[in-house]
Amino acid sequence: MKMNDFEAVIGLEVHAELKTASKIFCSCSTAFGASPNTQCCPICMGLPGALPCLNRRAVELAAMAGLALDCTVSPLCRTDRKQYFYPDLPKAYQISQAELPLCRNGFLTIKTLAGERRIGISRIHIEEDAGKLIHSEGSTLIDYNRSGIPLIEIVSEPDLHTGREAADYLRALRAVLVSCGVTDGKMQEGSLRCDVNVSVRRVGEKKLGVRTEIKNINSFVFVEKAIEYEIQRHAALLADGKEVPFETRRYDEASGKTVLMRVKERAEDYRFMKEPDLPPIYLREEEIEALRAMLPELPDARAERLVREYAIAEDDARILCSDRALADYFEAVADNCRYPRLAANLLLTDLLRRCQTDPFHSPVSAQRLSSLAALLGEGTVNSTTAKKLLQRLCEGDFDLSATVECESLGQIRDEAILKKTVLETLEELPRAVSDYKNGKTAAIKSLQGRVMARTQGRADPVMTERLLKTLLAEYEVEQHV
Amino acid sequence: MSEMIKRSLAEHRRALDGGEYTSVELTRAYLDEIDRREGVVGAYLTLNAEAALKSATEADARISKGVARGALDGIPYALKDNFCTKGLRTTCASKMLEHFIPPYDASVVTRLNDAGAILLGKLNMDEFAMGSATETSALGVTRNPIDPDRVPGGSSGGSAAAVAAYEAAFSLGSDTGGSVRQPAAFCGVLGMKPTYGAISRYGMIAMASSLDCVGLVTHTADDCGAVLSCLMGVDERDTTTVAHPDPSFKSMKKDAPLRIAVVRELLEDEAVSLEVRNSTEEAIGLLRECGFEIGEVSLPSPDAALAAYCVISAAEAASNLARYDGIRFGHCAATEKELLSLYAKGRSEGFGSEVKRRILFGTYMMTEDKRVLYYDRALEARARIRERMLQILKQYDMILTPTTPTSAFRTGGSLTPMQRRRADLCAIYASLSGLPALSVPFGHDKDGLPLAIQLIGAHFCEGLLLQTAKLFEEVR
Amino acid sequence: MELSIDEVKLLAQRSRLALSEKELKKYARDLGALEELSAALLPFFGPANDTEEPFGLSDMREDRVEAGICREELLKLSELRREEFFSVPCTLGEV
Repeated sequence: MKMNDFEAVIGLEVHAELKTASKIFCSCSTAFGASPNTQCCPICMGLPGALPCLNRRAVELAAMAGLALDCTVSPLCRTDRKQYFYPDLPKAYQISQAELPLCRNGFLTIKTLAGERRIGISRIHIEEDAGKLIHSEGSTLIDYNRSGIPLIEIVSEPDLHTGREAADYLRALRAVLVSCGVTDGKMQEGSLRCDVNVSVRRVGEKKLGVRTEIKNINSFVFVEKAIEYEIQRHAALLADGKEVPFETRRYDEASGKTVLMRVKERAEDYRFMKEPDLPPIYLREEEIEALRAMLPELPDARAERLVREYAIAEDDARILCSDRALADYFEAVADNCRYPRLAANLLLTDLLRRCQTDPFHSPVSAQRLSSLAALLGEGTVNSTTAKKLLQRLCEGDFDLSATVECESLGQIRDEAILKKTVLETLEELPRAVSDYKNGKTAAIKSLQGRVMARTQGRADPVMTERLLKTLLAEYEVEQHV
Repeated sequence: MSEMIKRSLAEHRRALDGGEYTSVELTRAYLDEIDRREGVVGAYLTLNAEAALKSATEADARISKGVARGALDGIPYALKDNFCTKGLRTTCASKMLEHFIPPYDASVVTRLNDAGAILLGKLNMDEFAMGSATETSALGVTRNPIDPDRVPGGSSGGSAAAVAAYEAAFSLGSDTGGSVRQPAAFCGVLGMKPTYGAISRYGMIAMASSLDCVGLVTHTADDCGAVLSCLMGVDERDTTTVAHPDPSFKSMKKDAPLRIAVVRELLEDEAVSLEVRNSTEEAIGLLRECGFEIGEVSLPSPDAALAAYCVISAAEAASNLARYDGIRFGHCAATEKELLSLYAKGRSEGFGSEVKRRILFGTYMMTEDKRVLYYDRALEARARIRERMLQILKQYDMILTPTTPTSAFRTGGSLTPMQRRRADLCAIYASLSGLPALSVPFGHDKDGLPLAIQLIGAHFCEGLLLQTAKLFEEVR
Repeated sequence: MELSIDEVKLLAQRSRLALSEKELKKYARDLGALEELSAALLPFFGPANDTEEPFGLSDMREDRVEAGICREELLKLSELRREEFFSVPCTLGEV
């Protein structure tokens, strides 16, 4: 079986929790991590007589998500009941949107190895979340805190073809939504969840294969792995002449495989009904435009601007813009800095590693990092020293210039001094010298390392290398008598 | 003392403010009457005597200081048992909710409490408001106070019986397809279904969400107006509520003669008893004498209207009753070890047969292959019928029909299918179109049972209906 | 036309109702009689205007947190409480 004989058709349904203070149909708090069943009321508990009451902010955020993803926001949409019985669904129906969703027909551009691809977004609609089920010794425990949390469901067109593309799409989607303040995107808290639909068919076939649903994946890496596993599984079945059954599966982290969740005897009949307790939603054109005006600069556009304004690398720009707080920080640094490229480098290779908070927060002030980049750019310190200074700044703030001065951390560029050190090093490491002279050019590294060590890491690396090469060429290995 | 309980709300107000009697005395009088008559009438499922007397004491304190809260301060009333009352059992006359104690009040209850009205207790009804004789109640039997061999009507049978038996000064019921108007007619009292959206449904346990209305049962038109004024208004908890454009009913007084349309086919139908026909003709004659212009109309597509009502109410009821699974509240088949049977057994034990029937109907009509035949079409039919009704009400100020085709029927018996159709027809046009409708007692049959006529008005024309009802009061 | 017992059984399962044989037969008959309703609605097939007043942003609820019902009050309503949770037998198809 050749994998090239098969192609995969993949669509993603992403659920994002909206960043509101209260739930979608009641005034209970949406705060994460509360004690079970302490953020509940008659409405989100589905008690008799309770009626839903729509949260304005949820509609605004959902519309903004649509605008940020180039969708058409419908001036008139409505809510519907999606009816099924399950213990986490108090009313035995979920208020969602069926035929008339809030947003339609958008797209998201992702950058793949093969270039840019436009992934279609079929629709975005608002709906309420269900409660949380916890399985425990033969019974299932129910916590209704999550019941009624506002969600948007973003349905992509089946335009994706590989696990990598799907993961990239998800990353890009998250970046857009978080930058607009629509969701906090905390995947480990469940604010962003993904259902995947995968089907495989032989290349050239028009008809779609039977699809498998993989539910509730909350990590980019797992999305990619789950899809890749599924594609292989489908292809193997098809190559064997077998049929792929219609299944719902989930991804098992431990084994790296997808596992059967439930077999559907028949497709679920949700008996959709227009929600009689909520009137249709009407958004005036001015209101939609006002929401559009509130959109911040989106990640892709911002990355392009950063490249233009600060001449940083495209890849660096993209990473910076995947997190709005990170991009904000960078711009604060770069604003008064003559060395934005160096600043970006310090930020991405050294500082970011030490700032794992979500959202991004730097212990080093923008001004400080800017100064450090300047010291490096002017040659006052070398890159080794700069990294050490950055590490120290993370632990506590101090005056850079003063410290460099009084601790003599400045880069050594005095040729005379450096030449002396180099010569001393050559004396110290005759084997490295002879290795080098015998053609092992890599031996220069240990000589460089020794020079650095002798100068407490302050030697100008460029000058050091030049001097080493020059002096090595002149150096006569002492003949042992 | 016993005459006290027969007074109107306005008379109570004068008496209370004037110190003729106190709210405590009045409340006790109603409680005594309840004691005296309940053995036969059986209108109440739960009494709230202790709390009522406490509220009455507080009302008296206010009244004696001259700071009565308004028209209803210190006046005892009762609620159909589908209104959630905090801390007081609310059952919908079903085993499913037999022990349910809501942790919150319905919005109308809050309004009435704030107005100082005194809650005497919760009233019997058809189970989950499904029925027209209060005979599907799983928790009690209510009899017509005029004649205990007759039904009080339904589903708000307890609400009508309590007011008719002077066991409360006024009561609230719910009207989805005539369930306040019909029992009011059977018991000889006034029953109003206001415009859909005029009064908040928050906390009124839902049957058919787009049809349910809070209904009022009173003795007089002025009483009805007073309660209506207290209850109507936008409630942010119920987004289907609409502001009443004329809450004081001032603009309702018209200078030109009012035009009333009579529905001839309903009158001449064989299901309608001779006495109802004659009584209705008499009412028409009276209105003519008062200067009303009488015309005739046909109601649009009766078969479609009945079908639409049946489909929509069943589909919405099935949906609204799906939440009763015993997990968070209500009857539970707690010993079941398997989830599916926990649901199925619990629900089957908790619901009576009429409720189960409607749930099955509703589910059936919403299934994927059937919905196009039933639910989708019913919504369209409803929209067209509503358009037609509004057209009629542009040419006429009101439509007049009998409220029911017969007087109250005997317990255990029921209407013939033909009579049931006609009964439903009288009631459902207003329900499908969201129009206000009022049942006004008028006349009696040969057995002394009360008869009634129904007035249907345009949206928010409750004032006109009440004005017209007063004419009948003056004659009676 | 009367429904088959199997069809009623499926309907009952969809509605989460456990019905006796007698009930199944009775409802099969009753459901069969519903066909006339569908026929009565036939002339109306075609779109009709939404009659509801639509709801604008300014009519909607402000995003503000208010106290709900406390946990003890809620758990009190149920026979299936287990410590701070509501508890049911294991859900289907889940490990």
